[in-house]
Amino acid sequence: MAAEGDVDLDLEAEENCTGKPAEKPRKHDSGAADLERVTDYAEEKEISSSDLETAMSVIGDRRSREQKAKQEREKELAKVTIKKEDVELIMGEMEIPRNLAERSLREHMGNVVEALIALTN
Amino acid sequence: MPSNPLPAKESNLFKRILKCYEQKQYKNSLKFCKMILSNPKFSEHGETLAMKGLTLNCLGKKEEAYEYVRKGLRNDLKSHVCWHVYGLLQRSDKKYDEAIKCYRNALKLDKENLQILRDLSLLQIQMRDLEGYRETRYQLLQLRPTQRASWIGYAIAYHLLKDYDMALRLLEEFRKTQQVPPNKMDYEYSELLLYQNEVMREAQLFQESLEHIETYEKQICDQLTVEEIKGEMLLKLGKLEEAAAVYRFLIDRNTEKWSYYAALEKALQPCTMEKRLQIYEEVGSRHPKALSLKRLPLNFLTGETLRDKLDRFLRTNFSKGCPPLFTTLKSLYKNPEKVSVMHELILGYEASLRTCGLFTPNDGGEKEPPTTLLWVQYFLAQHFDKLDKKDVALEYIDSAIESTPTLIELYYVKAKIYKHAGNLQQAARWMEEAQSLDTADRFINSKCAKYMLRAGMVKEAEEMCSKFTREGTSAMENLNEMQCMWFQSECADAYRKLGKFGDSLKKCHEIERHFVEITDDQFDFHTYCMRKMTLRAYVALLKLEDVLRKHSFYFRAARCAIEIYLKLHDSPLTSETYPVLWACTENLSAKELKKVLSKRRRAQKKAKLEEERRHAEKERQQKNQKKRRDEDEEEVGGPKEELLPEKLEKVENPLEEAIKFLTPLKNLVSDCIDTHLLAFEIYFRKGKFLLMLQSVKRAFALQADHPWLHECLIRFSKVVSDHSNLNEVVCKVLCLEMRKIFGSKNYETFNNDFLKNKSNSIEHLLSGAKMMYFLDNSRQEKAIAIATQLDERLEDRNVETCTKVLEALLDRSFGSCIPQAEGYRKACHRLFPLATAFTPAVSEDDKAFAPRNHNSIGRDLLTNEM
Repeated sequence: MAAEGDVDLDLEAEENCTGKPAEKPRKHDSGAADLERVTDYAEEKEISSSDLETAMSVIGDRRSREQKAKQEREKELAKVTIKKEDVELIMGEMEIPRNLAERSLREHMGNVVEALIALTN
Repeated sequence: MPSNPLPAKESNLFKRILKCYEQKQYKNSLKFCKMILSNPKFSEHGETLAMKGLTLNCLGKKEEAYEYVRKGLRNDLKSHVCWHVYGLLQRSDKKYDEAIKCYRNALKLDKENLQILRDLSLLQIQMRDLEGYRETRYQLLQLRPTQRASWIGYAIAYHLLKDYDMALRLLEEFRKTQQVPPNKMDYEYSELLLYQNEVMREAQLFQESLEHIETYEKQICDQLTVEEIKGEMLLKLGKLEEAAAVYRFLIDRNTEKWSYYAALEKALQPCTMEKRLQIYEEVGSRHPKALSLKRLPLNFLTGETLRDKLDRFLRTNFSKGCPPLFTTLKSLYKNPEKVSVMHELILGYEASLRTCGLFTPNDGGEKEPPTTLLWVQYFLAQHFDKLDKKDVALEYIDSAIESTPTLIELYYVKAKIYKHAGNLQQAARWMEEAQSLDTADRFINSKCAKYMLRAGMVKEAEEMCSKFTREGTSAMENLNEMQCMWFQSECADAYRKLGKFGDSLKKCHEIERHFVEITDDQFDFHTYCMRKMTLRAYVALLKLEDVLRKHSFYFRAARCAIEIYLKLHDSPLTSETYPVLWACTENLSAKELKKVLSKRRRAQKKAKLEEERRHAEKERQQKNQKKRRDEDEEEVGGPKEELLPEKLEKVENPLEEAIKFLTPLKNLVSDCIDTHLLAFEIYFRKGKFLLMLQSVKRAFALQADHPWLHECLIRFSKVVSDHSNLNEVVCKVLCLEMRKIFGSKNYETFNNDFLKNKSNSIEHLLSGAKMMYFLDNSRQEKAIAIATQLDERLEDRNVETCTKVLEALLDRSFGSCIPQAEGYRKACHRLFPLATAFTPAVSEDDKAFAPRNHNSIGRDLLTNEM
């Protein structure tokens, strides 16, 4: 496994190097060359600070809350019963994909008339 | 995991392949591939085959590339490298959805592969799957919390999702890790600070933004932006005195930026006109040469002060000879008081300059040079053109030309007057005259080409442009390569008016492709900008790309294409007789028709030969280019399907094609009523009732009394009432929603009320009358009488609207009515003698040529005299 880890397109091997690649001297008349460099490969720069833990914990909290809220909303929507023929009617009339049709129907508690009115707004 | 791991030597070679690929050394990469594959034990090694394919792709060998990559993948389905490579290949082919699937497969095999996650995140941001992007960015941050890009990418995800709070928190945490000593300038740090501040302002955190900018002021390179932010925030926070100081400072830096003056006024809150003027005079005492502070007060001054200031402004500019003077003052024409003051003043100058060479007879000043009179006449020509007195305008410009026949601007304005008067042929001719005076001027060259296109002279326009395009390719192709969209959209309109729908569609599609290309071009910047920390520019780019198709170039092309597709739907081109049908010659005899047809056939044959020749030429060039490219080792996108006019106009499903152009408009230009009306026309033909409803509802919310919308509404309610077998739910929705628009009225009364309420606008009367005839054919006479009114109280009596009426009379919107149309044409001709739309067809050419010859002879004589 370790051997193959090196074989992939991963850059881990390079990440051990310190310091960035030497910048080429900039010329003002080399717009084209600059553009060319846009697609160049470059090393990632590293943050030297070690104290990232508090920051990381802030993010973790926030993210779990977000996901919970999202899941609850999805769960609620999933509870709504919708009719297949209503979904198909919406898809055909409004020319939208199935997932959007289903979602709008669920958001309107399965009321097809209300869903359609909202979609025509 | 690869089923066939390589031994140490080959594994090293493989690593070198990867390195070479990253550094764009494709030839070397292929060499190493060969070294592995030539060993019979590894000739079927999947990952090497895939890498070989990927490298070949970069060398422009797409087909081979797919072959190798697919073979590699088949040989090693369990390798994430093979999946990743397949994804990269699809990505380079712009098949982003497919590429995402490949990356996901690769990630299943190697969950924590950074490079694949990074590539996935690039595709997600490119496709604006913001939620997905945030998710991927989260994983990257978890895996590599020590990398700058991890933090920035994650913060940007929140910013784009408009969760400013979280974005700011992330940025702040990240900023703290950046060890830049205070008072030391570091460009990347400076950009980070400015980006942070931008998010604050977007989040409406004005106080925070102000404090932030004041804290880090010393470490920001872009001092101008610092001051501008300060000024803006102080204004928002109501700290007016401090704001005024900041804007005074900014004005001292740049006296010609109008928005600074507006902000300064906001900060000082002058309560009277005099106080307002004082602001400008105060600045003027420090900057006597600044132009803006002389021009801007003219916007708000009235009465004697206005006359006095305007007088001074005009005199200075006339003496100096300032060609764009009219353009500078054009916005004042919205105000009748200002127009009449200018009118009096300038006519006075003209009379006085002619008699005694002074602006006013007894002002005791120095004599003006003769050019002053010239510029006054030049201005007056534009002035009367604006006031719709074309004959007076032409008199002034002609006498100016007589005195100075070598001044390009004069011919330019003359062309403009003709254009506004509705004579596009004459306009093009005068622009050509202007152009001939300086053939090295690209501006006038382009203008001339544009005027020629307006006049339907496509070939001449192309020749005109060819003076500035690269030699060796046709101007048309070169302009396409350079994405010269003004030319292409004018071209599309010209072809459409000539009935050459295929050619017109080709231009529209070319423009559409430019937009696709611009969208694709952003790909490279996702990594580049984060690396360089140019985050403000990066987010601005993303926001621009989001609404790119809002641009009027796209709107015009889309509109043109949609209108053509609608026509092609209404009457598909079945035989070669089509152009005759479109040229709206109802009353051609059979013999004439035959003649026209055979002429057309000959022309088509010739065009075909020409086309073939060009095609061969093009192929040769492409081959050459390819050769060069191979040498350059440059990346190439896939070749696109060629756009053929014949194929485009014989499209199988024009409405679907029209919808392709419409969709971006619906999303991006929903505040423009035409978007919804075009949408209505498409859905009307598709018989999609609820989508019709959607279109009229949206249009109705924007401008309820729009004439075209009115037609849509009547047609809509008629078609609804004609269909008795509609789906129950659809019916219910329609009933509920239409009542909101129509109230309790039926469409007859709805139309009558519309006519009554809008009786002073020709455009509205035309729409109402059309619908009157549409609902009841027996009322033809009455309807035509309403539409063809021409009395003076009608507020939009101009060439454009009258042309619309005439077109409606001719296109059978009122049934057959040739005599009435002819009568209307004559009446309009009396009103607008210069407009070609109303002149009898025969005499047009003779009339157009006569004055030109006369004048150019006169000019030659004069030039000789000088």
